[in-house]
Amino acid sequence: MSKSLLHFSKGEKGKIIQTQNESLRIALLGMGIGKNTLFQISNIAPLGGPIGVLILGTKIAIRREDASKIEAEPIA
Amino acid sequence: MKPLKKIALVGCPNSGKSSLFNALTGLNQKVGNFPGVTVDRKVGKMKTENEDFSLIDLPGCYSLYSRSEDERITRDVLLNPENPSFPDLVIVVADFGNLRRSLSLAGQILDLKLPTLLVLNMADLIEPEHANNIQTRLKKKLPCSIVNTSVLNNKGIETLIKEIPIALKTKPNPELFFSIPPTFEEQLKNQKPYPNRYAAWLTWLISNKENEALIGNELAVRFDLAGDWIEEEPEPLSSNFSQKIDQVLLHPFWGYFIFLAVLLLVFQAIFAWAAIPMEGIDYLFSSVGEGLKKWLPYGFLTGLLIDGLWAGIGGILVFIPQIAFLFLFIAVLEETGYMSRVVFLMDRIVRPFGFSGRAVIPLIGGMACAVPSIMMARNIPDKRERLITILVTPLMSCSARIPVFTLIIALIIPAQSIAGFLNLQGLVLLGLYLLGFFAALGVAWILKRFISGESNSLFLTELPIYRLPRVRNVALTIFNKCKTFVVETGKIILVISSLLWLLSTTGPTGEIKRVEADFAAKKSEQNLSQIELEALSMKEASAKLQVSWAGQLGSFIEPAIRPLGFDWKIGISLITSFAAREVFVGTMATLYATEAGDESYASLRKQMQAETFSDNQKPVYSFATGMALLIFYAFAMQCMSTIAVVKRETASWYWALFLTTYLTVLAWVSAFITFQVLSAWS
Repeated sequence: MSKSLLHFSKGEKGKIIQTQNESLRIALLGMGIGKNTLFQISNIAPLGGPIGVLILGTKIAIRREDASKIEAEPIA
Repeated sequence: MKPLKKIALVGCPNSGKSSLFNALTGLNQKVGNFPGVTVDRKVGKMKTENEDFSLIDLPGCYSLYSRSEDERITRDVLLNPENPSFPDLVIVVADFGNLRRSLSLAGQILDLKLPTLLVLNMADLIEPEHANNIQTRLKKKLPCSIVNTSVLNNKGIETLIKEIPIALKTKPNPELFFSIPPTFEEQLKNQKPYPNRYAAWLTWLISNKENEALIGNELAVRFDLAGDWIEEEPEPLSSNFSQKIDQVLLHPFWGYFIFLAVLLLVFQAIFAWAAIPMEGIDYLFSSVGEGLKKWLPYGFLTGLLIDGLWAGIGGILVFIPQIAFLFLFIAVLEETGYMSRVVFLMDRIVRPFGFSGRAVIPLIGGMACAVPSIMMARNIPDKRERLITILVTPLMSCSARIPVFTLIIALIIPAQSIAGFLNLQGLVLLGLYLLGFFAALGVAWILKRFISGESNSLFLTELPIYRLPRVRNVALTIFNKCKTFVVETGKIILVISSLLWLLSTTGPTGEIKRVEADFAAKKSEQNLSQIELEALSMKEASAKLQVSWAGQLGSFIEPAIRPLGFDWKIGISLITSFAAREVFVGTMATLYATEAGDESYASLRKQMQAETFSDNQKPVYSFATGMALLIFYAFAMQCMSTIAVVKRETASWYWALFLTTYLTVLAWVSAFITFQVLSAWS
């Protein structure tokens, strides 16, 4: 079942499905995050701060409101 | 002489592009601005076997569609053959840490039909055999030279240099990697001619906000294409190590604890450690100046040379230790990858004020000195956020305010303890620091509403893997920053300081001469002791300053500052301390004809305490006036170096003058309210 990136917990792994927001999609593609990209949530800043998402060797910090617009599927 | 052929470096941020630039050019580099904007333009000279080239480091970008100011420059240069920076060869720096996105960018450059050399950097991240396999595969698919490097370990750079002449001759593919939808050919016909179709397409796409979906589609196609080129994703080896460090440095408690410790260290360095070389520079310049004065004939020219220009140069160089220390830390924090972690930790906390985490270090640095901190704001990618940071940093209580604060506090606040252990004077000083801090946040919050600009709600920041800082990169950063400050900002400081010198040493016709003649007569009286002579000299300096233009101006502005509880002597000091806040104390000492070097200014304080207004005979330094003066100095833009550096960092006098105006108004109004309320209340 797919869910928003925001609802992934620390350490959980997943696969990017899509995002509805075009500017976000452009920015994510620039960072090397596209459809089917595998990721792992590696850090979550406290007090509603950004989320650290590990993709291959790079880690990208994503703000929560942006993370909520990204749909992803958990994988084992 | 024939101009050198140009090579441009293009690559994603954190791809090792700047390290490669430093490795190829060494000290043979110059940092300037791109025309009209404050984005570093780094150009250097590099040699190959048969030819020299001019190498330009274009701002890092993730794709040619990026919207930030820095990234737009890269696009503008590559799209326009008329651009003075348009290259004969593009070196695209890709990194093995995230090859797919680097190759998407490379695909865009190749479609522009520019001669291209692809560098696969950070080869140390994966097994050498694996890296070579990827290179072989890419060579079959891409019409360009490809070299593997590990700039960090100085590997592959020789090969790269040898490959340049070959790369210059490679013929681009006739076909585009990305096929432009045929339906758009019609639209493209109306465009002015471009070197090729892809450039025309790109220009059309970015001209219209509604094309976002098309941009997204193109990037998705390129992203898949790059995946096909590699055939597999390389697995970087060292990410585990970075992961472990992040578990500590991004920890909800320890992360902040360590960040606080880092801040404290930076603060300590620019506040305390930098003070030692600064005092050295000060001493050197004043003693050499004094020495020279004894040798040169007394007169206007000597005064201008020594007290105006020479002192002005000293006033510029005295900033070097602080700039060097701050950028030492900044460069190390950027190089290691820690700076992005600061952004990660602080983003949520400072966001309501229009900042992202990147503004935190300049703001804290402002507590030591606004000048290097404003220079550091250049590292903030968002243009609006950078501007707001520059405009509020001078509110942070800097070290130059301390002499003023301590003098006035000692004058009006009794040295008593509260609750047995809290020193009242110390508390007031702490209060002034907090005042500056909260004023900075408040003004930022207001400016956020008024300064237009695309608010970059998207927040994606790369947290690169941790790396050891490279000494060469750190040293070059420090060197370049100091040089820029001395050369660019120094000019303005020199002009203002000479002007201020003129104001305080010349006056209306004959006035100064009259004072000199007066005192010459008094000094020639018989039987004067050495002490009496010295006292006369100090009184002479005081009298001269009072009749000088600065003195006249001080009396002239008295009506404007009287509502703040200030007299004309404070007025004179306000004018002279426009050079730098701490000059206030020196001017006061001159006006009251006391020794400035006196520890804790005891005699100056005694004189000031005895001072009364000439009209109503009330003491000048009442509690209300003292507090108003403290508040005034907490806000007022009494620092020509800050104004000069803001002019340089915003590339406009407009913002420098805006800053000066708003701070002066803020200072006046707050001091007015303070004085009026306190004098009514007491």
